[in-house]
Amino acid sequence: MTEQTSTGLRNQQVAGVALSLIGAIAVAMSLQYPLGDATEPGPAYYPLILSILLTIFGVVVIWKGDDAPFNLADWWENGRPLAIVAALAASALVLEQLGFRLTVAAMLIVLLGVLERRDWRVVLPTAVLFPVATYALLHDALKITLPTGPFGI
Amino acid sequence: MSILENLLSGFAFALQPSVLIYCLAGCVIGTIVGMLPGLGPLAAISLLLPATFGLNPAISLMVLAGVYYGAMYGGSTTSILMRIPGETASVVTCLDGYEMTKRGRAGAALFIAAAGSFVAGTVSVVLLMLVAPTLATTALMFGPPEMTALLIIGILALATMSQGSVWATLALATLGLLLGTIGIDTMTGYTRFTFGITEFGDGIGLIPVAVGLFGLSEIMLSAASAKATTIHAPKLRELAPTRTELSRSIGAIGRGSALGFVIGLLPGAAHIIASFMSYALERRLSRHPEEFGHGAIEGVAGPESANNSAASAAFVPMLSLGIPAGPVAAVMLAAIMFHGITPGPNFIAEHPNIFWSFIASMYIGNVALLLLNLPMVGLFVNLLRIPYTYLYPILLCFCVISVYSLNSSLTDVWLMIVFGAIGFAMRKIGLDPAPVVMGLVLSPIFELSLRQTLAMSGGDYSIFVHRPITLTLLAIVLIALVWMVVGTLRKRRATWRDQVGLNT
Repeated sequence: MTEQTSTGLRNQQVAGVALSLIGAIAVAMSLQYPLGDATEPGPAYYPLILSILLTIFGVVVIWKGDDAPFNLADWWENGRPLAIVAALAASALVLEQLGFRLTVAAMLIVLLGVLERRDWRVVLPTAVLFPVATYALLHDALKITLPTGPFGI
Repeated sequence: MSILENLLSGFAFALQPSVLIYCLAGCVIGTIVGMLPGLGPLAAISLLLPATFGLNPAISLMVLAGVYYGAMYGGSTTSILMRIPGETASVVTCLDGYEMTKRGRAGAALFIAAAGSFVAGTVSVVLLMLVAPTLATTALMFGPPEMTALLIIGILALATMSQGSVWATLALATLGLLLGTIGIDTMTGYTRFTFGITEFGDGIGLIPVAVGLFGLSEIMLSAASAKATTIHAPKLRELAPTRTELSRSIGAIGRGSALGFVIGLLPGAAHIIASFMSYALERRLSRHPEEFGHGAIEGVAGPESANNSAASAAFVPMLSLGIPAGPVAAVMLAAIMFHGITPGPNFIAEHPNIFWSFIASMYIGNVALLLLNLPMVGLFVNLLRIPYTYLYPILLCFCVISVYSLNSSLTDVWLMIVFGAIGFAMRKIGLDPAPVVMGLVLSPIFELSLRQTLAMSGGDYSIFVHRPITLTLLAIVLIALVWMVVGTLRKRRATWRDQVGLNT
């Protein structure tokens, strides 16, 4: 059972604070552009209305929040969400250098082999066949541009 | 010639084997395209356009239209099976379609999506055939004030479609509208909220946001579950919907078809708006609104019918007036113009063979898509037998590939990752990401309509009460708001009476 790290906060209170904070920041950013008026609205006119509304709605959400307690410990979940984000971020960093096939192969090896600890007799063929097959479908058949890596791999 | 004679001559052309094969090819390509989140129908049609230049103009239109409505069919498959919207109009299908999959009803969801799409597509083709010129003229009466009022209705309808609190939904929809302001302001040329990122000049892409908020967040949640996520892989007999599911779907399909056709006549992202509004309508009319978001069959049947119907209706202004309702219709008009044909009000009268062949091909295409998708239900559902620990890494690669292939841009991949993390956080604190996506879709149209309205009226907001259609639409909004407030007050009164024992 997940250990509860209760802060006394409610989910909707956290949501409301985040939304009203975004709204307030958006108000400040909108005011950097010309406002204009109703006759000739400037670039800030519409975003400013929305930002103010967002701030107001955020405050109402804090006030009318539901009873569900905010539990940050619930977010860790064996580290998998963080590992997934890290794997995706790493793939984004190397995609255009290593190319499509090598990047996808590396991602599958890390996720299937290292994180999930699946049988390597399944992991390795998957890591080879999946990128090759999808490259053939997308690049060769559908003519979608995909990056290639060193030595044209 | 009567309508029937014209239609028969259209079928005579469209059913020739050499023509039929092109129609079917368009449908198959469209279905595949619809399943792949990164490659939308617009990109596919644009890629195919040069290939159609050597074809007969009627056949060119048939192929391109087949891709378009085929994508509407295909987009529901990944939405239902994996919560990854294959096409923007299938975003809503993720909400209940995937929940049905988790309950072992993936086959039923896919079946109803295909059947609903077929019925809606057929109904809208009939309407297209019968009322194209009249309806198109009526649609032209929708100016910026009417569009603004309609979009306000759409946004308020959102407030009723979400599972969470109305205020949270409105806040999230507003956030989505605000995100839609990122990029170049088309009326003044100012670049807003781009943080110096050149790729944001065109705004943030809908697909990376939708794949992140829906698909990626779902993968993060499912992969992280303490219990292994077991998606019940159904037995063969469980693939078909039950009698209850069928009877509940019939009304939703009918309403979705009608609503989708009407909204599809309007310019803009009509098929997306139609699917959202259909969902809101079904939730409002349902005897079990609490089931929505947890696998309500109407939540699949209605939106899928609406988006297919809207896709066909989008051809009404294109064919009868030569006015494209959106970018897809614009590309198809380009295909017509390449063959030396001038689209416009006289198109149907001057080129009846092209018009009626096109109509006939839409009937054929709908049947072909149903025959293509239904037998594939079992095949698609078998994907669920793959253990999730093997499936989700492949899905992650699929997401990266799809999003990158949109614009060959890493910015889109990063956007997907960021919104995936945001979607995970939102779902952890009980927020529904759907209103954000809806707001993002509507924002450009909403801002443009609002600013055009203010330009027309010289800054006077009372223009909304001086125009009959706008006044009617806003009256509907007011009635709906009063109804919501009365309903809430009644519930509170009943709760209070229960608490104090007055209802014993």
